[in-house]
Formats: sequence, C-alpha cells, structure tokens
Amino acid sequence: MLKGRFSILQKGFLLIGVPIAFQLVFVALFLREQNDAANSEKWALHTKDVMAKAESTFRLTLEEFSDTRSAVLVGKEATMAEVSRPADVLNEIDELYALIADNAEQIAHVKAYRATATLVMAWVNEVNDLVAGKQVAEARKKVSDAAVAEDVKHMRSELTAILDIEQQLDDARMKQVADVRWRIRLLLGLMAVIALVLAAALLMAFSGGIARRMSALMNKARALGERKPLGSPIGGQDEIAEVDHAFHETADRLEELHRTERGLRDDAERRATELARVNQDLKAKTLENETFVYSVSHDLRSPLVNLQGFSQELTEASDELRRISQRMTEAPGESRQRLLDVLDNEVAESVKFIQTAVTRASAIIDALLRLSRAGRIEYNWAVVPMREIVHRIVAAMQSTIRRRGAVVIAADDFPDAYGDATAIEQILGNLIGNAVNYIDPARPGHVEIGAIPGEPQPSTERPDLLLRTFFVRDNGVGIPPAYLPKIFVAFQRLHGQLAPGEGIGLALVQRMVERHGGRVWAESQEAKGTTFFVSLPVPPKPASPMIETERPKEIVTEIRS
Amino acid sequence: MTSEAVNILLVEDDDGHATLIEKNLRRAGLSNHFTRFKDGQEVLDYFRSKNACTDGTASACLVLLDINMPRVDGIQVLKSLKANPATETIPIIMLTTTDDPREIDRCYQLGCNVYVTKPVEYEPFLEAIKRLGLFLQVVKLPPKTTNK
Repeated sequence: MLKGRFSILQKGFLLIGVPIAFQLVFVALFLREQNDAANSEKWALHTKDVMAKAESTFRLTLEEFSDTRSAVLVGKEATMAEVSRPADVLNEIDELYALIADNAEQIAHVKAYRATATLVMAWVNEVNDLVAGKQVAEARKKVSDAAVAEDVKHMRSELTAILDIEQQLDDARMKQVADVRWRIRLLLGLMAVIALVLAAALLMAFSGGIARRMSALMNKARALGERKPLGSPIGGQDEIAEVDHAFHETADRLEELHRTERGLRDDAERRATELARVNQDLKAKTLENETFVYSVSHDLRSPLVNLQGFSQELTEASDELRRISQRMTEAPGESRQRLLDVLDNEVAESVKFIQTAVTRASAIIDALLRLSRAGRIEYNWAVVPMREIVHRIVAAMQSTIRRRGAVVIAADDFPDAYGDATAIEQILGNLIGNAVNYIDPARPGHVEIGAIPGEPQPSTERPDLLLRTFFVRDNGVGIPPAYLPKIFVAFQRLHGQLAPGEGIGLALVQRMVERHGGRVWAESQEAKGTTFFVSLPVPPKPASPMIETERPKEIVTEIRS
Repeated sequence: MTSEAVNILLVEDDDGHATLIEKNLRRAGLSNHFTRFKDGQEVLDYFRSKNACTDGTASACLVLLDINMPRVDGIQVLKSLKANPATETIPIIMLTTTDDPREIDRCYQLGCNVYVTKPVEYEPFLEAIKRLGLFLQVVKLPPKTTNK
C-alpha cells in the first residue's frame, strides 16, 4: 500500500515522528488538565481559608461577647479591659472580605455579617466604656438587653450562609478536581493505546513493504549471481528501488559482457577450427608437394637415361671412328690427324661434360626422390631398440671412423624409442655420419651419442606421445651462427669439400623426426663442435600391469641377444 | 622352340630408351626379333587383333614393359595380360625408372616375372640390360599347354 512512495529514511522519520506528534498533543492536553487540577486545588485551599477565617472571626466575636457578658454578670469588670480587642474582629472580617471579593453572593453575606459584627462590637465597646466609667448598673442593663443576643444570632445565621456557600463552592471544586483527575487518567490511557496502535500500524505498513521488497531484492541478487533473468523492476522511489535499478543495470552490463565474451569465444573457436583446417591443408599440401616432387624427379630421370645412354653411344661411336681411321691408311695423313683430334678433344670433352652433368643431375634427382619418399612412405610403428641401432650404425661406419681417426662413444644404456625402425636408423645414421664426416682435421675427433636423462615430455604436435631427447655431440668444425637456421633446409651445404653429398641429409632427418611427432635442433660453436638433439617418442605404457612386469625381461633378452 | 624364336615385344614410349635398350641387348648378343610399341594401348591392340603369341604356332613372346606411358600404362597392360587366360603365361619383364618399393611389390603381386629398374648411371643400366639379354638367351619359356 505504501509501495515505496517514501524513502526508507522518510519512513523512519514517519515511524518516529507521527507517534511523537501524537504524544506532544497528548502532553499539551495533559498539561492543560494538570493546570486545571492545580487551579481547582488552589481554589479548594482558598475555600478552606475563607471558612477558617469566617469561623475564627465568629469565634472571636463570640468570645468578646460572652467574655464581656459574663464579666459584667459576675462582677469582675476589672479583667475586661485586658481581653477586649473589638477592633481585631473587624480587621479579621475585612481580611475575609478581601478573600471573597470575587464572589458577589458572598459579598452580600459578608457585608451583612460585618454589619452585625459591627453591632456586636459596638455593644462590647459600649459595655466596656460603661464599666470603665463605673456605671455598672448601666452596664448590666445593657448586658441583659436582648437585642444584642439577637444580633449574635443573626451573625451566626450569616456565618452559616457564608460557610454553606463556601462548602458548596468547595464541593463543586472538589468534583471538578476529581473530574480533571479522571480525564487525565483517561487521556494517559488513550494516549498509550493510540501511540501503540499508531506505531504498530506504521511499523506494519512500512516493514511489510520493506520486507517484501527486500526479499524481492535478495532474490534478484541471487539471480544476478546465478546469471538468471531478473524479471520486472520492483518499482517505487526509495533506496530499494535504487538498488534494484542498480541490479538491473549490472545485469544488463553483465549480459553485454557475456555476449561479448561469447562472441570472442566463438571467434576463437572459429579461428582454431580455421587454423586446424589450414594446418590440415598445409599437411595435405606438403604431401601433395612431395608427390609432385616425386613424380617430377621421376620424370626427369627419363631424359637423363637418354643423355647418359647416348653419350655412351657417342663414346662408342668415337672409338669406332678412331679404329676405322687407323685402318684407313690410304687417306691423307693430315685429314686423318684432324679426325683423331676432333674425336679425342672436342667429342671426348663434350661427352665427358655431358656425363658429369648427368651424374650431378641424377644425384640431385635421387636426393629429391629420397626426400619426397621420406614424407610419403608408410611408417611401421613399433618399439625401437635404440642401443642396438646405435651400435649397428657405429659398427657399419667403422672404416670411415678409422680413416678419420675419430673416437665414437655410444652410451650403453639407451632407453627404447617408439616409431619406424628404418626411419629412426636413418635419422641416427645421418646425425652420426655428419659428426664423423665433419671432424675438424686440426684435432682428434670425438663423437658422443647418448640420451638426456629425465622424464619424457609430451609432444606439441602429437599430444598422445611422450618424447625423450637423444643427442649426438662432436668436437668438429662447427656451424657459424648465421648458418645455423639453414642447416635443415634441403640442398644447403656448408662444408661441401669435407664430404660428398647433396645436402639433404638433415632435411631428411627433420622430415622423419617431424613425422614421429618429435623435434630436431642443434647447438654449435664454430671450431668447437656441434651437438644435435633429437626428441623421439617413448614406447607407450602397456595397458595391463601383467605386461608391464614382463616387459623389462624382454628388453634384457633383446639386449643380450 | 629355341630362344631365338622368341619375339621380344618392347613397350616403351621413349624412343631414346627403346633404341638404347634394343642396341644394348643386341650388343649383348641377342638376335631375337624386336617389335616396338609406343604405349600400352598399342600392345593390347596387337594381342587382341592378331592373337599373337597365343595361337601356339607362331613364335612365343616376351614382353619388356615400361610403366609410365601415355594412354594405357604398364600396370594396366600387366593387369590385362595376367587377367586373360590366353596371355597369362607370357613372361613379362617390367623395365622402368621407378624404384618405389611399393610399386615393385605391386607389380610382383600382379604377376610380373622380373622387375628391372632403369638406372640413370649408365654402367649399371648397361649391366642390367646385358644380363637381361643373357637371361633372355637362356630363359626357357613355358610351353603352350593350353591350346584353345
């Protein structure tokens, strides 16, 4: 009902302010009543004063009267003068008059009362004067006069009237005081009840609204945390509405961020797919290129066969011509000599050049064929006993090693690799051959082959394979830093004079290592030596533990055999 | 039936190769009759039209077959000859520049009798041709058992 038209602060003020306003009204009313009560009490005291004054004046008058009368009657006049104070009585009555000066009815009565009192006091004074003048008889006569008794009687009746009126006034005032007291009690009770009801009503009105809205707000906060839709806004103008508004804005911003993020992720996924496709394409292209190189180099062999064959035919024909010319003795010596010169010099030289060129072209074509075949040939994946392979390679190279005067040290504890045994043998054969071939003639050659200890690392190309790094280290001529990046490029030869070859050995090695999911790289210092590193897959872990326990034995026999 | 009676069918698209092969085989002492075909289709047509080498009366045949040829290549010729009962007994020598082991395997699986790689280095090629000539001189072709 009070749907956030007021802010929480305003509601707080209302909760406190409204009851306080009511209480202020009540306090004002209460003070007024209290004032009335105090007035009534004052007036009640006043009445008591008036009554006491009236009674005391009458008592004094009566005392004067009876003292004078009895003194005269018993003849003890001498004592009279001492007690007689007629003037005091009238003064007292004047004071009484002052007290009731606001009451017209009482004024009449007090005036009458004073008049009779004056008469009585006059009588007392007369008697006293007579006694003082020794006119005792005259005094006695005066005392026995019935008129004064009548005056006293009259005075008493007036007094009774005054007292009655005051009593009535007093009664009325007492009633008034009681009324006021009752009203105050009523007011206090009412005030308490109204204040309670009001506070409760306000509290319920506000807290109901706040609690409902707060719970809605909490639900939204939870929804925001769980990235669910927030629903419609709470509405209103209070702080809750503001927080709600902030929630909605946050949700909108989050949604936007989420959208952006999703967009980015989609983008990344698309790019990854694209990259994978490009990679696939590249692989296909590489294979295509290798196939192309293969067929082209193959086709190139055909004309080479002819070149070589017919140059041989030319040689044969020249020999034949030479033989014929030698038999032609009748021919002029000069012409015959010229013929022999042509055959021996021009023809023979041309044929020699053709044959050299053909041999060279053929070597290049063979290299290309080998290179393209390295990428095309099917691999036969198996556990490869590295120790056996390395020792076999070293044994096969023994004559070259001896000729170069080198020392080759192969580790005796090679771990097995996993891949195509022929390819791996070619890889190591190439690297070891290079090390032996590029020995520095200035110092004794030293080649070391081993495996780098440590845990196998996963392959970046083939995450299903773990790779171990092997190395071939030499103290040979080394590779200049500028040349190091080119060593794996086909047909690049640095030390052509040191050993024969087409410069495809390392390109072949790289291609074969890549096909194993591994990597080959080199570290070199010129005139100090080169170390080639090659990472190759380790054998996959056997699935069942039974085989695992059997495997080491197998390897042991393999090495021993 | 003497080996001289064997007709050598040389299927080779390259004229130079054909000349070199014939010359060197002759130099090795071969006196057989040579018939030259420029591609696979020609030799298949020859077998189809003349019933050559299959009628049992004419001289027997031996095929020197190149692989890479236009129209119909050597593999198809090999397949076709080995698939036909009339020609399946004709000895076939594959003579090619290809040294792809898979290709060689395939030819043997298809039933070729000998596979000779034409080396670019002339000496080994010459040696191969000469040996082939000697081989052809001594080879006894299977007698015609089927005579339909």
